[in-house]
Amino acid sequence: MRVHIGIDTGGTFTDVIAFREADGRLVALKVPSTPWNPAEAFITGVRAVLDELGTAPGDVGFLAHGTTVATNAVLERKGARTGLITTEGFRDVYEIRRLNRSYEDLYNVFWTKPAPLVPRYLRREVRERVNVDGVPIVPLDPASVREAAAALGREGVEAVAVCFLHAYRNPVHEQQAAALIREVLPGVSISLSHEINPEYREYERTSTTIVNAFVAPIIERYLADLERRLADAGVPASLHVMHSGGAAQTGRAARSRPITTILSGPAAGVIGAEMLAREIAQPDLITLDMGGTSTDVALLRHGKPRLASESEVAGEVIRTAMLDITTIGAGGGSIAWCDEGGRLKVGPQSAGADPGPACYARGGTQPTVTDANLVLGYLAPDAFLGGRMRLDRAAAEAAIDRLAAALGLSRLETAHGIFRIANANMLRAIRIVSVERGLDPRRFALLAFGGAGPVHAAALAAELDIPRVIVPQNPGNFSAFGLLVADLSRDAVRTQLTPLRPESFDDIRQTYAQLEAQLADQFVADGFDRGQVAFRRSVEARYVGQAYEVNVPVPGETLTTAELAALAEAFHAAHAERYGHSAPGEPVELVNFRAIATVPTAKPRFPRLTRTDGDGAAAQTGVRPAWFDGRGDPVPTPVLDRRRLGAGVVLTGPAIIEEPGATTVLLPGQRAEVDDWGNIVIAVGRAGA
Amino acid sequence: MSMRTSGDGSAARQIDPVTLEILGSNLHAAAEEMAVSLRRTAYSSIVREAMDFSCCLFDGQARLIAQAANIPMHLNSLPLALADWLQEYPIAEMEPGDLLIGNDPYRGGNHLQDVITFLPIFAEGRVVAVAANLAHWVDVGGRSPGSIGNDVTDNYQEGLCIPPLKIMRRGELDQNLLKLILRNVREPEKSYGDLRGQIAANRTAERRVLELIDRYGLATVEAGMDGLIAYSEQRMRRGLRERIPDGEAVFEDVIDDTGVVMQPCRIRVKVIKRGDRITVDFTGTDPQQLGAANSPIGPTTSAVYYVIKAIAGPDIPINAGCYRPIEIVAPAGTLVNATLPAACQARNVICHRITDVLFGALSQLCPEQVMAASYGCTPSYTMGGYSARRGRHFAFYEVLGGGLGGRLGVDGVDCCAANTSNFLNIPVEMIELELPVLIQRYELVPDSGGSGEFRGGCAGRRDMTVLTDVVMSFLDERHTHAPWGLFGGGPGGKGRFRIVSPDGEEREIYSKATNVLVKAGETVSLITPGGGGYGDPRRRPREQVAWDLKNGYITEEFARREYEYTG
Repeated sequence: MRVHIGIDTGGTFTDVIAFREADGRLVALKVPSTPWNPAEAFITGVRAVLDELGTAPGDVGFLAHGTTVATNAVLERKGARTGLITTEGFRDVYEIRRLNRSYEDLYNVFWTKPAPLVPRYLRREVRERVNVDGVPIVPLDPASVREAAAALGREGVEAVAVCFLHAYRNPVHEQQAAALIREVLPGVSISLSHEINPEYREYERTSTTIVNAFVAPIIERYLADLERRLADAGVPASLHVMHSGGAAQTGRAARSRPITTILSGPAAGVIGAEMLAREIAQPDLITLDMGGTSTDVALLRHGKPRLASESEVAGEVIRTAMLDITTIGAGGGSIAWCDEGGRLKVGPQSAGADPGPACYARGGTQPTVTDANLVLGYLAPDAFLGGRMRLDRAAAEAAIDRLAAALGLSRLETAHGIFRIANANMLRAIRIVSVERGLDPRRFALLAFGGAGPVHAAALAAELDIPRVIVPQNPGNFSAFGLLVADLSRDAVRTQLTPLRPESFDDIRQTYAQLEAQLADQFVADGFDRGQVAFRRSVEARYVGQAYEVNVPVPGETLTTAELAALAEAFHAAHAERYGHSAPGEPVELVNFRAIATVPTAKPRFPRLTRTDGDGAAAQTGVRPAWFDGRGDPVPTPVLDRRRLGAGVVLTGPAIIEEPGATTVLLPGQRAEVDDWGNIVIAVGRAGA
Repeated sequence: MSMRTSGDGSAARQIDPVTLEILGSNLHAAAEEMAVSLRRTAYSSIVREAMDFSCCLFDGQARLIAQAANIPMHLNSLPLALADWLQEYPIAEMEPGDLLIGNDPYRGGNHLQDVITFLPIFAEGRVVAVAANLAHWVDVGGRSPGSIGNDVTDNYQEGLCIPPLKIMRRGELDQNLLKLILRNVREPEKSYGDLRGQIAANRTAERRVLELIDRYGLATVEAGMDGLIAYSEQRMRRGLRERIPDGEAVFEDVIDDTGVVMQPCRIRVKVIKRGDRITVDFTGTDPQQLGAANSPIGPTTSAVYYVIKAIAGPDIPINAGCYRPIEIVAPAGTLVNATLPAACQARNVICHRITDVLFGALSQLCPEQVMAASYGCTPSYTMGGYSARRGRHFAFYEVLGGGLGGRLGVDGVDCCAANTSNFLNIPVEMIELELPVLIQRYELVPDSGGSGEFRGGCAGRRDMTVLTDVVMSFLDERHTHAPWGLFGGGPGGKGRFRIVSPDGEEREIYSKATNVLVKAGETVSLITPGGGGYGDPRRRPREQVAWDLKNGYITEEFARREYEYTG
């Protein structure tokens, strides 16, 4: 009786989802998070789902965990005391950064750079130099390494980052330095730039390596604690940790590159979407995960999420394989306000979970998106979180009324204005993942989840002319669901400037062979068979002279001359898609070679819903007034219980569909059908129609 | 402001605050999308890494509606150019697919490297908007690679000047003009790539505007444009009223020299603030000079708008309304309003100094809102030569950072891009891929941040050994006149450029030296200026002085002398 468990730690709740293969039973629940030590909520949650299923801990066959431990260490700057050892003359690369300020600070007289995670006195230089071709031109001076390590040791560092110029090309000096540091500082965690991020551009590589070092001891302690607690609880399965690239990784892999957990928060939902896309044969999807304080948007094309390679957390630049997810500060808790010039604004300030929206009646007085949705009738006072939390409609109205007076609008105009502007903010995020990547959102379906996503999705899709909205079952727990279906994966990259021409083909084949051998070895060390490992290749290429690369998939296996020749065509096409033009005939060079190795996990198979057809009347629990524009009378709107909707049911809007943890709004005139997997699929008309 | 549109969408010339917000964010997004498109497609590293470009949307009356966030130096270059060019190419005579191009500094432009394009956007048979962008081309000819030449004596030596021209008619590029232009620049493929990127960016904005019109109707979109301009004007007036007390203040400073005239030249400003209006008067500024450090009116107004906006309302959306309450008096033929035949490639020298003197004048009216003087200009170098690795000739341009002045409550930023500029450095590992150089150090300079209760930012230093003979040109300022402090703060460190031979022999390089032959094996050492301090250094908390000392931002000697700190 194998049981799969996914545990996703959030700011307020820890979501736990469990699936039992034997009878296909799925249990999803939330336990309060324990920010002082997330392991407590983790274990509480695991015990709770096992109780609910009536299953022994020994039956747990697979465990996957989405953690924010590393992310929070960076956000709160509470990582390990860390030192940097770098090439002589370059200790300030990390502090100078790239010189510029963010767009938000363009006109800010008082802007500053973020305080460095490693202050200047903990950044030590050693004599060594490797040139751009990877040739050591100044040998590593062992004495200077020992001296630097000893000095950092006297300062009590727990972790050391090592980043030498051009180490992505030739790591020999970093390897030699690591051996020396280990001698001087046994037991100190060491992060080497050529292992953490072997790509060129020294600031980004240094920052990435430093962040990795900064969180490494924290992740080590956390995972060791979790494994001990799991063993105490009698759970035999080994722990897997979510990777920002949208895969699971073993605990050992997460320890060796903890930086890969930092942007993993929103990744699980996208992996859930990837699985769903396959099931329902809808390969082109935009995902909208709207929670209390933020919304994550991503895009799947041909069933695959897009990858990104660089992001920022609390001002720290991080380069690692990650899903291309855009996060904006717009959620149910986003505060609506009137600016100095009388314009209605929503966010980015959020009322968070505490005090929360005015309608939570926990002392919040500022109107939020959730308050507007309550006033508009989309949410019900007694149906929030499955009735476990009552919403105070009078408090929401009072908060909206105060804002309405400042704007010179009515209560409903204001509430509907908040709804529209929150949508406009999310539209911006959808545009970033689609239009700015050269893709037309009208060719995609919108997959809405998170607590607040299904309220807004139909209106958003209408604004963008997106033809279909899909709301999965348990949208509030969809991210935890994603943890259950993620494959195991590892990735490797190498920067090696290579002209794309026949003379280079042998080098290209050899580069991939080396990357893949390295990845396979790591899986073998984790106890897998070499034969289980599958590879995906890509390369970042550019026109000679450009500094921005376009990622192009590379065929696997032998790489025939014809396949390599076709790379140029693929690059021109990818460039044209993304940038609107290409220049066939101009020389192309390959920059970063990437390989991803995957070992599939045993995926749970999900049951289909019983087909009942009908118009949903049987699921209707009542009728309530709702407003779908800022004027006029309310529309009496049927309210349905989603748990009573069978497959094949066809609904006509307006309708409000409630389930524990989420509410789906169907606009007047829209049609929706429940599919065999229980997804609500909305056919969207044009805005205003 | 709070009137509503009627339900059938027949918008009156007034618009509700919700629709205004939505249109505002959509129009701004259109400008931002242009910027994303242009930056991503650009060939020249100045556009990509230094973000030296600008994207704007204008309405059918040529009023600025939205501007992508970018370097403030370009705040007002495009509006002036459009207004000027339309006198020659009236809007009424435009056809769909027409594209105007030009780079004439004295027709609303910046310097010759900044090439501007305008694309009219048509709906219902007329021009309803204009998409516009400006991109710094890597080279436009002239006397040295990168078109940097500080010893020039007139604009004709600085490169190819393209007057406003219709380079595309009904979507067809004029191949004759294109050939003429590309024959006169050193990196024709890159420049042509940048031009294609500029056209694509304008097309992006066109699609976005037409979608908005399709969704909301032309009348509503036009009412929204009016509303956005009125909104920004109202915000700017309120900011001026509330954040800058009424009064008059005068301040002046000098630049080291002009690149040809080897003596200080004065920039003088008088600020008159009354109610919701402000006047910035440069009367008394020295006449334009031989050498490249002269500013056309476009960059000058941009620098003024930057300071006023930063104080009165950093978050006010940029459009034509912002600038209405600001009056600029800049006598023609001076350093701040140069006219033909003045050279102007190094106009950023003047712009940075305008920023400093305006902060200096405003320190008398609103001392808590300003900063001490920062490093002197946009420090940069160019390098030309032959790369054996690439098998071809190259022209390379990089911008350096310096120290920002101290502010009330906050130290100046160490080695950064300040005020009217905002650029990225080019990674050491990328430079070494592109150029035959070996970079020896890239670091902060101790003791270069002016002392103060809030110290100035430290300068930056870049040392590189060239591996083959190259020709280099330089541009920097404040190598003889240090960045001043405010309210008792000390001056920031001066800049210093040197060349060191393999046997250790040093020679100084003049801050604006042009076409310097650097021999293989020689090391070029570039130290930029720091920032001035703010407030009496004796009031700096001792633990902060100790921290600066521990981290090597200052030396013991400096701590003792400037802070009376002995541990």
